[in-house]
Amino acid sequence: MGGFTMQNRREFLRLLGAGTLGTAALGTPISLLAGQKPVHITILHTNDFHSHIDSFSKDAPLNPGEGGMARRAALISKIRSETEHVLLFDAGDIFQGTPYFNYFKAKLDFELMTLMGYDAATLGNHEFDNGLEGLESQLKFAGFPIINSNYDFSDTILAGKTMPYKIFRRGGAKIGVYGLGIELHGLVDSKNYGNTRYNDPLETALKMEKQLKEEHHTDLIICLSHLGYDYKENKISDKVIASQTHHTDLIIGGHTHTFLKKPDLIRNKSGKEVVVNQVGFGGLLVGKVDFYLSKQ
Amino acid sequence: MHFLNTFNENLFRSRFAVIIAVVIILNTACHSLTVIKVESRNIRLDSTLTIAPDAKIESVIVPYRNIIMHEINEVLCYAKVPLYGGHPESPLTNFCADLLRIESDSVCLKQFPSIHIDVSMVNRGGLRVPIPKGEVKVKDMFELMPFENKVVFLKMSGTDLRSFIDHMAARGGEGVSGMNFGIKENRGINMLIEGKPLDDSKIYWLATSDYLANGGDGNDVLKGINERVSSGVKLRDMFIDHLRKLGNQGIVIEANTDGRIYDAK
Repeated sequence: MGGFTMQNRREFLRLLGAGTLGTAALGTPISLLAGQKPVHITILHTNDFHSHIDSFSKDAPLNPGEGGMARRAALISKIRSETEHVLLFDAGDIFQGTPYFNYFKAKLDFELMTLMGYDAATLGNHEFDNGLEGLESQLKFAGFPIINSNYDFSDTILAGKTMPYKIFRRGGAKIGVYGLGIELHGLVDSKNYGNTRYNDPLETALKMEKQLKEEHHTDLIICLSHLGYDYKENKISDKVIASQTHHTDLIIGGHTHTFLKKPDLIRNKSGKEVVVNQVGFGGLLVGKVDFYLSKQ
Repeated sequence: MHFLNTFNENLFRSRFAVIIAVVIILNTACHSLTVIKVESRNIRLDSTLTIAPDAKIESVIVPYRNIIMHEINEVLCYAKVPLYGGHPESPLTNFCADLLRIESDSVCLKQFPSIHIDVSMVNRGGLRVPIPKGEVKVKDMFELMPFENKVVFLKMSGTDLRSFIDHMAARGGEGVSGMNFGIKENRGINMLIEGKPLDDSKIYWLATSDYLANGGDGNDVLKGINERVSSGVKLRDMFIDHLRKLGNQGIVIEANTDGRIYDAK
């Protein structure tokens, strides 16, 4: 196989022309090339649903009759039928909260989430309630990845079973997703997380978003966080991550069971607005964030 | 000849594929997208949302639901009013802490006769929902206490207990029983144990959960307590048994606050 001769080069240039036409004709979204119609990406999300498979009981003191996985699934299907590019995420604490978990662990939660087409979930502190074994044994029921970037599981049975980030492609856009977990010390019985090492969430976020932006050229960066929305005391939270990062576009939060009427907009370190959202707990709501992206 | 032709054709095709790939990559890199608009809303799955449950999902849930329905719908007892949580004290935290102290003391009477439980503590955050009015079912206990925590007894010096009370005061109060105190400037004052002033030189036994005894929910102050007795009883099971007893005796739960923790301004 000879070198790159003059003839080869001519052929290359000819093919380059053909190639460009080819890609345009072969269905690379026209918007990418022409920059006309924006790409519409719909992000749906839940957090802290705590095994609330059924809707809250009709005589529950709070939120009677609300929520429920079958209605959530119907809502998600309806949105999918109306919009082309949907991503569905959960921000952790799927485990624990109703007898479904005590009797069947996470089997049913994970199987239903898989049927509903969840694209990824991150880890909440309650995912450790039955120890590392109790988490590892349930992962086989999840047909979607678990994304966490700041727990180091290398010395545990979870090594290699979660992902630090994942890139999704929808409508010609590249969407990078990373995940942040809360400090387990003091929150989870130490025997339940064993040799898991906790890395600083902000340092991790800065590293992940840089990698996703600069190495992977993602168009949209999403953080699945179980840090909590905001704290009175000096503690790392979604609001802190939002204000201290540069490239993260959306933080899907959990842990503090915060019912935000509408997603919060926070100015980041580069002066850009970041969307921070969280939808209470118990599967009472579904968060919906629609991004419209365009070639600039 | 035929062979050569095929070879050239293959070479041509593979080059073509590489070039197309390069072009696609270049296109993507050059035409990176920028967010031009964001819209968002949080959709509540309440009665205002007219959407029928997904039949397929429902059919997957049914067999699981049937298995647990039978067990968790047992009515244990009745509550006159709903018991809500709160601080510095609340009907819910008081009821749960009283239950823990009384039942723990009777566990000790049978299994550890040398121990008398003086005080108990349940954390507000560990009681996840109110106790409903009317029928109180096994299911409600699962929702109140979804965690698999077990009851433990900690042997504390009066000094330890004093710093633990200060800690609870700083947090605005927790579920306690067997003790009274005021909260002033984030510290406990007028601490009484079973009606008598806290004695720093005395030994007290505290009933709580293994989770809290291990320093959970910020209770590092309990982590240093060396002497611990494990009951082996799950907190939730203790609650279920107690409520069933109340039901059998025809006792209806009422909401009580008695000023055991108060803001002393």
